[in-house]
Amino acid sequence: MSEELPKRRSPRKRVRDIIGRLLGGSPTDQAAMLRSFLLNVLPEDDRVPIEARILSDEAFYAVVVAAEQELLDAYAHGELSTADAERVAQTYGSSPVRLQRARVAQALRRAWGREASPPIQGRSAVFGELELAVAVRGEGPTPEESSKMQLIARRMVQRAPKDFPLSPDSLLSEVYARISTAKSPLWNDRTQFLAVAAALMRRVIVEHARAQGARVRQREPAAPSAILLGLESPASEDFLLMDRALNRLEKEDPRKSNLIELRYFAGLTVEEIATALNLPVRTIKRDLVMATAWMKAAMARPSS
Amino acid sequence: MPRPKMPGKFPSNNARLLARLDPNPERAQEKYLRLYQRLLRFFEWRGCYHPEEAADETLDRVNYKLEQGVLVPNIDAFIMGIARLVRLEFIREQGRFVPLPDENRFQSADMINEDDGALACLEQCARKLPPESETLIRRYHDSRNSEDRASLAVALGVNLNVLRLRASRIREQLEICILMCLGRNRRV
Repeated sequence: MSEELPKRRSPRKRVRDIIGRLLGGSPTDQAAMLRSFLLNVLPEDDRVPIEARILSDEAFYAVVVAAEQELLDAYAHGELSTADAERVAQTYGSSPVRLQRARVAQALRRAWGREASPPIQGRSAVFGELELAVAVRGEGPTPEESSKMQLIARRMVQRAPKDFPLSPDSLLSEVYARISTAKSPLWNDRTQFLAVAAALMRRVIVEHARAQGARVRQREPAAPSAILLGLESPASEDFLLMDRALNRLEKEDPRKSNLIELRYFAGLTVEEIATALNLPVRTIKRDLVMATAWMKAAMARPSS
Repeated sequence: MPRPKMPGKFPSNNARLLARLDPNPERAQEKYLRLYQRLLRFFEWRGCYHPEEAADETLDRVNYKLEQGVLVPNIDAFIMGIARLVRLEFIREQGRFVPLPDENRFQSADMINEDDGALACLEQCARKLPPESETLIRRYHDSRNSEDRASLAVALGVNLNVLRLRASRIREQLEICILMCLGRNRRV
């Protein structure tokens, strides 16, 4: 494990050498060096530049912490050589805090390793998947946003055609599948998160309506206001009519289409939309009036 | 082990150091806490028996020097220099680099068979994480080999290194909670 560096180098050259290996070496070299550091087998002079960098560079500190966790995980899973395993036992057995970190690694192996991965208790596993996908893309929902997502799913299902078969949880599951298989991130910043989720849910409902063989019928649609306000649960035909109108609005004015989606499909209040989109309430109210009028007209004259 | 007295204890109000870290008080507090975390690890990785005390001592001394008007062009290098001195003093004067008795040594067989306290704390602490963090850390540890983790990273649309560091940060939070939980249980 210990990597003996050439002796009798000047201090300045030694520091350059170490930093060069840390920054420019292969991942294997870096991992080996960090392991030597963590197991206290790196020569004293070689520790100095590493420690200095840990203090001054947070990103590098995070890399060393991750290396330590991986070292302990490898120990816990019996993946180290006998010599390295003995070094871990010696090094980590000599300090209470390090000993506890080793215990955490053992507990992780026992609880969540391949041998035992219990289901997530007390939470919807489906929703957990969605949160996971969102989280690793760097825009993890806050607890408030999480509950809002569930609320939107419930409202979407309430406003879906009468024969829509999915529960709110199943709808979220379907949305998760689409997020996780998307080739590129579906949103660029946090404000788009709820809007994208709402759009995906609507798409799922529309596809279901289409799969039912529904066609826009040649008759007067149900009252647009009643459908828009959720006063009347639409038939599949009416839902598709509304979807077509919204798609047309999207081409003309994507922001207004977004507002309609959040207000009438996802059921958010004006204030909630303003917060989600980071816009003034006054702007949202003004745009909603115009967008609603446009939608009513488009739904009343579907062929235009 | 009772904490031995250190010579020349310095005041614990580190206002001068905070001001040096950042003129904005809130940002200064954040930087101070992050610095403290890194110092803790420095002492821990050096085998220091009481890393918290050594980190406190270091920051107190740095603050004292700043109050004395010592010119410090590079604060990081200065802190590291003080930290090295503190470590040497701790080891020399208090014998802090103390190996544990043999029965407490880290033995994998003991851990595997008997350490249910850590398991209980792990589950308890995992439930305190934000839901997305809990799911991520569980999934990450469930996919143990590098191919599984690479597949997980691909499925989630990030590269493996991003996934690795994110999982590591969550685990750090988890570890802090577990260490506190184990400490509480031991006192009970």
